[in-house]
Order: sequence, then C-alpha cells, then structure tokens
Amino acid sequence: MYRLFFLFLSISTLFSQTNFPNSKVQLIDNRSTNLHSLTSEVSFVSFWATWCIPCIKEIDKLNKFIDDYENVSVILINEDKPGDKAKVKSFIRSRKYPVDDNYHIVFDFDKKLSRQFSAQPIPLTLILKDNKVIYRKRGFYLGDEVELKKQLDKALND
Amino acid sequence: MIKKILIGISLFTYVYSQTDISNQLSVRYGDSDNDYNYSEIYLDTKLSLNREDYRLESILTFEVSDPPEIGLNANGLDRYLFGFYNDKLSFEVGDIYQTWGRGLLLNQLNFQNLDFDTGSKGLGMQFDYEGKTLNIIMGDTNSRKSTTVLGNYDPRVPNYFIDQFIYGADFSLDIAKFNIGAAFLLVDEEEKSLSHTLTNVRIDKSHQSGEFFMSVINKVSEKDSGDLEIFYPEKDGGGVYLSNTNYFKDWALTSSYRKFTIDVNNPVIRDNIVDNYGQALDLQRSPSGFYQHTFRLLSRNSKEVNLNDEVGVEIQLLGPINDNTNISVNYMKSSSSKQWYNGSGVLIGDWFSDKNSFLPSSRQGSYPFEEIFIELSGYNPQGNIFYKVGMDFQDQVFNVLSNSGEVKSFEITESFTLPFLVNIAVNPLWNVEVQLELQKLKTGFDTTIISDIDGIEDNYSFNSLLSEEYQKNLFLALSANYNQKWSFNLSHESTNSDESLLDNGQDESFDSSNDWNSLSLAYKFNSDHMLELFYGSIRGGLDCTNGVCRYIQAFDNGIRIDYSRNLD
Repeated sequence: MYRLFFLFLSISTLFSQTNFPNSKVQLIDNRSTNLHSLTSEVSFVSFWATWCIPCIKEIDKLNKFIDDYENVSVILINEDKPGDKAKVKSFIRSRKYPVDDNYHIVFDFDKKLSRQFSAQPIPLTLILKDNKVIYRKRGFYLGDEVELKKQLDKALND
Repeated sequence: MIKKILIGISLFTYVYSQTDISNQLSVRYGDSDNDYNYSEIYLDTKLSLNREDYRLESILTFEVSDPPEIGLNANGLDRYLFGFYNDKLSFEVGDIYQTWGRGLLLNQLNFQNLDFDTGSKGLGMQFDYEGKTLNIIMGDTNSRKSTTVLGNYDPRVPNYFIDQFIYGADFSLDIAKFNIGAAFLLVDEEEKSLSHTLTNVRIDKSHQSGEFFMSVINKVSEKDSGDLEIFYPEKDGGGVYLSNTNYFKDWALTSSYRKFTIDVNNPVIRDNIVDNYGQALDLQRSPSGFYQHTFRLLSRNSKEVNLNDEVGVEIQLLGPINDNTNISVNYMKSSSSKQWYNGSGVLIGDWFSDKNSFLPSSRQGSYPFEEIFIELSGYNPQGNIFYKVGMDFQDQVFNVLSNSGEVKSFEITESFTLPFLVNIAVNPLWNVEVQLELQKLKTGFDTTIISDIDGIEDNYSFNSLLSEEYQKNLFLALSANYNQKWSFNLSHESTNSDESLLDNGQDESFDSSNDWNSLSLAYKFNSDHMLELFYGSIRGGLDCTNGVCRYIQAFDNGIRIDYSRNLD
C-alpha cells in the first residue's frame, strides 16, 4: 500500500491543476448558476466564512480597492454551514459587501469546491485568467492586500 | 511500433491537456509527557477531466496513522470518490457527502480534527431542471464516537460504532419566489435490528427586505426485539425550525425559533447515546442555534443544539456603527421541552415531567441555557489596525440531579468572558497580533434542602467542581509574522483552579495543571507549503468545528511538527 501511496504522489506532482471548474453553484439570492457565468477575463476568488477572522480582513481590504478594477469579477465562496445561511446574508448586508453583477457570493454547503481546491484552512485566494488559476494564496495578514493588487495588475496586463 | 507510440503520446497529451491533477500532503507528529502521541500522513489526490459540457473527477484520500491524533489507526486508502458532472446531472460513486435544505434531515460532514465523519460509501445523484432539483442517496454510513456510557472510555479513541445503510431522496422546486422542498430518508441499522424513517418539508423565501425559512421534520424509529420477550415501543419524534431576517438599511435582525422533540428522555437516561434508540442521527444537523465563537475560552463553552429535546430562540442584530466599526449583539435562550422533577428526595428514582410552553423555560428542571454576546470589530482610520472586542455572559443548567419537594440539586455553569484581539500591520514586512481573554467561571452543584418546618429556612449550598468557587481563566497569545514567511507564536493560559477535584486518580484525561505555555515557529516556503514546529502544553477542553463539538484532552509538555504542502 505504501508503494501505491508514493506512486500516486510521484505521478501527480508531474501535473498541475490550472482550470477553474464550471460547477453548478447556488448564489446568495438562491439562484443556481454555473461558475463560468460569474467569471470574467480576470477573476478574484476567495474561500471564506463568517467565523474566519483573516477571511473577513481580506474581504474588507478587497472591498476598499476592488472598485478600481472594473473588469475583475469577484467570487466569494462561503464555507459556513448550511444552517447559517440567514446569518451569512445578514453578515453581508451589515458589512456592505457590494454584491452586484460583478461581485458574487456563492454557497459551498456540500463542500465540493472546498474539497476540489483543498481550501481548508481558509482563506484560500485564487486569481483566475480565462478561467485558469494563475495565482494561489493561503492565509491573510493586514498588508497582504498590496500583494493581491500587484497580482491583479499583473493578470490584467499580461 | 513507432506509429503506436505516437498515437499513444497523442492520446495521452490530448487527455492530459484537459486534465487537472492536484495533491495535498499533510504530515503531523506529536509527542507529549502525558502520552498524547501521534504520527499521521494524509494525501489527497484529485484528478479531473474538464470538457466544455461535462467534467469527470476522482478524489482519493490516503491515510497512514499509528496512532492518529484522534480516531483509529489507518494504513492505506481511506476515502475515494468518482464523479460525473454536467449542467443537469451529477453522478457520484464512493464517499458521498450531501446536504439537503439547511441540513435538518441530512447534512453529511467530515471533520478530521474531531474524528467526525458521516459520509456514506455508495451512490449519489443530483438532477437539475428549470428550478427543480432532485437529490438521491444510497450507501453505508459508518460513524464512531467516544462515550462514557461504555467501558474503555478514551477521548481520543472511539468505543461506540454506528453502522447504517441509508437511502432516500430530496426534491425542491422554485414557485413564485418561494423555494419549497420535501425529503425522506430511510436508515437501517441491521446489527441493532433498528430502522428509522425521516421526513422533512421546508420553505424558503428571500426578498429585498429579508428572508424567511421554515423546516419541519418527523422521525420514526422502530426496533425489532427478535426472539427476545422485550417490547420496544415505536418512537415518534419531530421538530420545527423557523428563521426570519429583516434588513433595515445596513442593519440586519435575524431571529430564529426551534422546537425539537425527537427523543425526549428523563435526566437519568437523557445522555445515553447507546441505549436510546430513538435519538437524532449524527447525519442530521440543526440550522443555526447558538453563536459559533472563535475566541479560545468562549469556544470551550460552546453549546451544540440538542435535536432530541430542545426549545430555543436566537436573536442577532448586526450592523455598522460607522465606516470602520461593526457591532454584533446576540441573545440566545434554550431549555428542554419539559420540566423534570422526581417524587422524593432521593437522587435516583421515578421521574415525572410537565410540558413547558412553546418558549424556552427558565425553570431549573428544564435545563435552561441563556447567553448574551456583544462584539465590536473594526479598523483604525488608517486601516492598518484591526480589533475585535467582546463581552459574553452565559448561564446554564447542565444536569438535573434532583428536583423534588425536599431536595433540589442541579449541576450548573455560569461564566463571564471578556475577549480581545488586535492585529497590527506595523510595516510592509511585520505583522503583530495580540489576543487576550479573561474569564470568570463557576461550575458545580447548586443544592437546596427544603425545610417543611415553619421558622426554619431552606438550606442552600454550592459545591464547586473545582478547587475554588470561581475559576479565573486567562488566555494570552502573541504572534508575529515576518514577510509572509516566518511566523512566531507564544501562548500562555492559566487558571486559579484546576480540575484535580474531578480526577480522583481515576481518569488520566483530567488535567491537574494550572498553566499551559507554548511557543511555535512556522516557515512558509510558499503560500501552500509550510513547516511548523511547536513546543509546550495546550489545555484540554471542548473543541468545536462548525457546530460539532468534542472533548479534546490536554497536550502536556511536548513537541508537535506539522508539515503541509499543496503539490500543484
């Protein structure tokens, strides 16, 4: 069994995950849609939860500068439990998250996206270009927003 | 031959150009003076083939642990999943995790840190068509727990195993801005000659000024006595959950009400998860009921919703005080659905009950719980300092020992907690965080011997479970992060009153320390590649993840090494 274990490890490291899946997801207004209908040429994706302090800090900082990036889509993938749906909606409302056609909150109640991207521990942040993951970052400290802006600029200018 | 090789290479390249492979490796080792030792390796291998109109996916999880931090030893393939997904259909074989509605009937979870896994090995399907969704599940669920009801109790190693075969379906549809759902689930526990039938209906409505949700559940459990001359009555329980949110500009007021009476039992047998065959199943989770605390000392006081017997209300007000500050005010109250009392002054004997009203009761024989939690969070005007400060009051009756005309005795806990966290981005390279929590806690037996003689007062006494009447707890953590690469953490926790009175030398899991100190150093090679070294002690207690709680024993004076890498 150890051989099988290490065989998988070796083979798998030769390839890398780059595609963002076109999974079906539920939006905060209860509508269902496919992820690719929410992305644009460059997209910012973050796995977050209301109880995750670094996630909240990251989103607060994102909200301060995202208006400068009109062509970037934001997809915040919520990892709270399904029973907290009402609390998540209240949280977003009270913190004035600018939900619109370019800023989306989606639920991942069955944790399929979380499993696919090994998102735990959160926050896990992805920057996509043409639905391919070009940047991946785990965790957030105040000041990290400078690096996130740099990566968005790079994605837009490349 | 060359032709075959070329065709082979072409095929391989074609397939792999559309294939994503990723892996997550986690290696953990711990060694402590109180034999809290573990060594674990986990590898998640994910492979997906992405086409324009469908996706194929496989996930394999390997575990090698001897022993694990919590749970049973493993050596090899632990979980697997093969799935096909397109716009209208998803089909999965392997370890299935489904959530129907908000989880009151089915919410399958896997929390490795708690050894809590309610996934099913089997088949899962989902059909979506123009606002209509059908979920189907069929498979074996094997969950496990540590319980003091059985012998060989060990908080790290399960001693109670539940094997179930489940099958059922959930259907939901959108009608005129409402989402309506109905589900049934049949559960067989062959070894225990037990079967459960669960049904659920729910309604969900979102609108501009808020949202409304209601879910109703019924559960019937039948146990076959076989050749034994024992009569097991059919257990028929149910529950209702309501929540309503209203927005007032940027403010949100959420209130919820729940009444669950799936398996109502008297104080003597109430917590017996082994013999109460009508109890709620682990794969059920109630929607929100109590605040999910993130602070260390408050998290240890967390409470889980009791689906078997609980009436509760929760009110939460959230809003911005100004551009930089948010406030959250939470009030929670719950009790059992009945008040329990016994006929005489003895501690054991016949128990009787009175039904409470539809609201939670404050009467001590009804296991009352009450909590008020207020939290402020925000930034300084420059935006480089984040803070969170709170205040929490809790009052709870854990256990009803006697509630008769002569003696009233209840196990109670009262606590007052002040948590505080500040995080400062000192400059582009350094980030510093300080977390301080202070708690005053009282836990023990409240006993009143009632005098029936005129002129003689009732005799009240309180016997603490700890060496002092009031336990004063302090938690302090300092951490510094340099250049997103190096992290240094120091933590100190102390108490004036340890658990030695609980111990009696019988159970090694009780911790008689009065302070716990630790330091850790972590290095991030990159965002998903980290090594952490830890030395010191961690206080034991309740560990809660997303509404699931478990007692974790203390880690005494040892080392821990954690290595994790995402192999993209």
